Amino acid sequence: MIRKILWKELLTNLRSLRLSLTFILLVLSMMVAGLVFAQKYHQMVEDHDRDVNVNLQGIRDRAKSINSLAFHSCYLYKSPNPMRLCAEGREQHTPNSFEINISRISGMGNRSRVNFLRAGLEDLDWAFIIGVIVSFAAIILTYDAISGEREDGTLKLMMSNSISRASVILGKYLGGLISLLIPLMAAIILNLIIVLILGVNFTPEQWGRIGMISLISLVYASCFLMLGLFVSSITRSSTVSLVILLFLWTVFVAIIPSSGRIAAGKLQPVTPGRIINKNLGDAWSQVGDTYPKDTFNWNGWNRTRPVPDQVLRRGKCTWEIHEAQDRIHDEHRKEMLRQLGLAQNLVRVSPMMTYTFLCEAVAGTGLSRSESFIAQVRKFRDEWREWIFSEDRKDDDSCHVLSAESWTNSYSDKEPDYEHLPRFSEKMPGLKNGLQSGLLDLLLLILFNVVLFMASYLAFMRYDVR
Amino acid sequence: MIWIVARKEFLLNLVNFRFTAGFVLCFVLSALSAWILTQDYAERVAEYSSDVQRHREQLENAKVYSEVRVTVDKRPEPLGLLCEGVEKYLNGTVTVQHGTVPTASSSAGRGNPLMAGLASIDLSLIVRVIFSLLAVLFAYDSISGERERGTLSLLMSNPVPRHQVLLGKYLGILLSLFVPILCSMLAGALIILLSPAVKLSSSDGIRLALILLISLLYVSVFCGLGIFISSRCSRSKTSLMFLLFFWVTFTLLIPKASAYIASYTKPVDSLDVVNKRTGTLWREFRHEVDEFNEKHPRRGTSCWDNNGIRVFAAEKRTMTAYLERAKFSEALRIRYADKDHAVKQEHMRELEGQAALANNLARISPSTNYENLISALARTDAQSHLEFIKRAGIYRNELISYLRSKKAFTSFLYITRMKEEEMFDGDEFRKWMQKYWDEYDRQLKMGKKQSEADPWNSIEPLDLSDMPGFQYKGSSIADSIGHVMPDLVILIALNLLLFMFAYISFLRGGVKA
Repeated sequence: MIRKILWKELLTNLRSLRLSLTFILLVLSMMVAGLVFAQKYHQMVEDHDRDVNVNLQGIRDRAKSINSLAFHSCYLYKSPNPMRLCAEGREQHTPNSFEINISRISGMGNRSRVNFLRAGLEDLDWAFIIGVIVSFAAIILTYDAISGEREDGTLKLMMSNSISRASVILGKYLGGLISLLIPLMAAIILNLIIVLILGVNFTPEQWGRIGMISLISLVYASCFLMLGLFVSSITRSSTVSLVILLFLWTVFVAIIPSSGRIAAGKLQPVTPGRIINKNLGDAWSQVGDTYPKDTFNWNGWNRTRPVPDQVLRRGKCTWEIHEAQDRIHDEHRKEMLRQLGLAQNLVRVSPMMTYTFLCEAVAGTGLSRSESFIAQVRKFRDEWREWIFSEDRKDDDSCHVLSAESWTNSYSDKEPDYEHLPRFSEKMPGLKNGLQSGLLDLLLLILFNVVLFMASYLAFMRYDVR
Repeated sequence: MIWIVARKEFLLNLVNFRFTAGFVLCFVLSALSAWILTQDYAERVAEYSSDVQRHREQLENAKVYSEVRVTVDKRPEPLGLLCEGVEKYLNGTVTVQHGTVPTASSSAGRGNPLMAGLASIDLSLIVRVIFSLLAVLFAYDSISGERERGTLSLLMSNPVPRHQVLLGKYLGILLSLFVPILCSMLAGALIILLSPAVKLSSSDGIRLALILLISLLYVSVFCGLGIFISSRCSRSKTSLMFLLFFWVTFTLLIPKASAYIASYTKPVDSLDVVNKRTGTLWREFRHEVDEFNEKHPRRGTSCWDNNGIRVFAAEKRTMTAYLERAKFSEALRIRYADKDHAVKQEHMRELEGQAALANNLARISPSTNYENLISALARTDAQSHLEFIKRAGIYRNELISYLRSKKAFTSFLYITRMKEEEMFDGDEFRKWMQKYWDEYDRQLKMGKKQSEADPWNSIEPLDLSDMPGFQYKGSSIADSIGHVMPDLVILIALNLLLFMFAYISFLRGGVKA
């Protein structure tokens, strides 16, 4: 019996205006997104190659000695990630590069092709298109599933047959799901075809991610189908259920996503820049105070041996100061990530945001990628440091004085071995990692589904079909 | 007759569920957003005041002309409470100095750059999304619904011309939208006005009234669209579906899609590339100064010397060498600052071009027109910010000519407060310095820290009372609207066109389903 209801629902939906409109809108949006993304992807790859080369060239041109290399600003860039097609993960607002030298890591902003004159408009990705259109289509398909049939009087007719209420609601749900699956799959496949034709390549692992995101989209769609069925089975008139659903949908899709920032800013403020500057200065004087007063009185030193005690002391002091300041910067970065995490947690009330964050986690973009990028930069800085120390140790002419100031000339004067410089290349967070961080969101989405299914089942059980 | 139809439509809407639900939702959201944003605004104003205070103290503490650095702050716009615009994303603190030309930049450096780009709920969002939805919901069955119920033929059997019916319905729907809009805006305005942090001028009052008017104009576009589609369709469900899909497309998809299309069809240079370009410039500058230093080596001693930019005392030959260097480098610095500005300005033009393309593409959506108009009226759009930056650039020129009139770049006052007649060479200098050395040692013995005993502290600040101040009043209402005239024209034209279409299709359409 379920199959009959499902079949009837499917056929009605397929001939309905709403499904055609959904189809057109979804396919069009996804096609546009695919076309533009290909352009964007090639630009990302090109930019990345250029930036990495410019960085290496800069090192060759300006860091003629190991000492100057130690203090040369070396840029570390994020790798281009084709998974941004599915979930952009606000990558335009998260750092795309850091600047490091032997003692510092700096840069938390995004220095790619951003346009701050039109901030606030993110790129169009699957998560947004599906998040908006599919959920909208889902409530439009189901708002009159029960209340509409009651108004038409067909519900009474249907229930006069020997048919259980559970199979009616299940049939309607499955019918809706399958009808939504058609435009969804068509849009995804068209989008992928466009992107592939225009030269974007995915690894098998990335195909796995794409497959998972498609599945998750289905779970998301089912969430709103359930919501529609639920509201439809607690109201008597289809207009009322539509109004309730549309307002709920607007709140989920347009209002809640915009409410995280101020709330997170209030609940978990980030130390303001001027306090950070003050703390940096304090760190300087705190460390400086533990050293004798004449440490910074400089008399000049020209790599003569034995190295004067004052030079060693000053070098050590500046190094410690930079280490202390590095800790402050690192804590500040963590603080910012925590605040963003809180802002995201606050908006998870909306299934659309839960879905978006889940897509980001599976795609390996978004917050988890930022965290992993920052960790990788720190790790690379340590490697870089070690490499410079080991190169310095190879040179017998060098005095091997630890220092955080370039003009001390405390490291080797030899030309660095450009061929064997450590190279940075960002590794994407693994799929397993993504699934772990997305587990909460997946559970939330499933929870939404289960709760709404139970609620609509119960509501329909008690529904007066007259 | 128009009024009877309008009144009926209005009263019918009043008792309708959609009216109550929409009213409650809009009212609660507006009040909530006004309250939250007011709190946020109070904080921002407090931060702004402390910034202004700090920057003034910094300036008043200048003891030599090399320390004269004016930092100007843009006051947060009170009407930003209704429409955030891009104000928060742009850096409102600008340093004005001969060595830097003010340029617009992102405010990502302040606060948390990771949170940049996250919008908040403001009134313009509520109007844009929810009020337009409400308009659609009120209008979708205005004609097609009556056709279905058969009341349209009843109505038309009376001696009443069709245009009056249409106009009556239109006014009735508009009136029933006006009530929640007015109530929500009043509630929001009341919360804003009651906050001590917000000070509104009388011109802000006019702006508020204009915002209300334009909000009405905006919802009436959706109202007109609703009646038009409704009169084309025989079934109200069909008209509803069309309208809802139009609504999603116009309010949510088009603004985002057009920005996305614009950013990759008309790409801008990355900030990294621009920074590297200006970095190369400043490296050249330092190279030229280094060359000058090599040619004019400095001899002799100096005391409490901050790289020759701020020197407490030095031998005469040293001080003269410093001054010669400053004369050379500061004139050069002004030239390089202009070059640096030219690079950034070129980038700015790209950004503006891209933003304009995105905006023009999105202008087919009334939602974008509305957003443009409201942000311009609230002075939170990019244009207002660029105006501020431009004003700061003019102020820099005033500042430079003031400094030149004071011979700041060519006199010893640029680097020191030591009097010229007290400058000596060699032993004589050391003799003259001795009293300061003794004093410094005495203070250190008394347990003062090195920084506290610095004799630089005891010098009186420069007299800058005749220095020109920075004034920024913000653009006038006429200017604000002038920039967004096309949007206003489009909104009005859309209204007229849609009403005309509705009229024609109502005239030609049947009265029976």
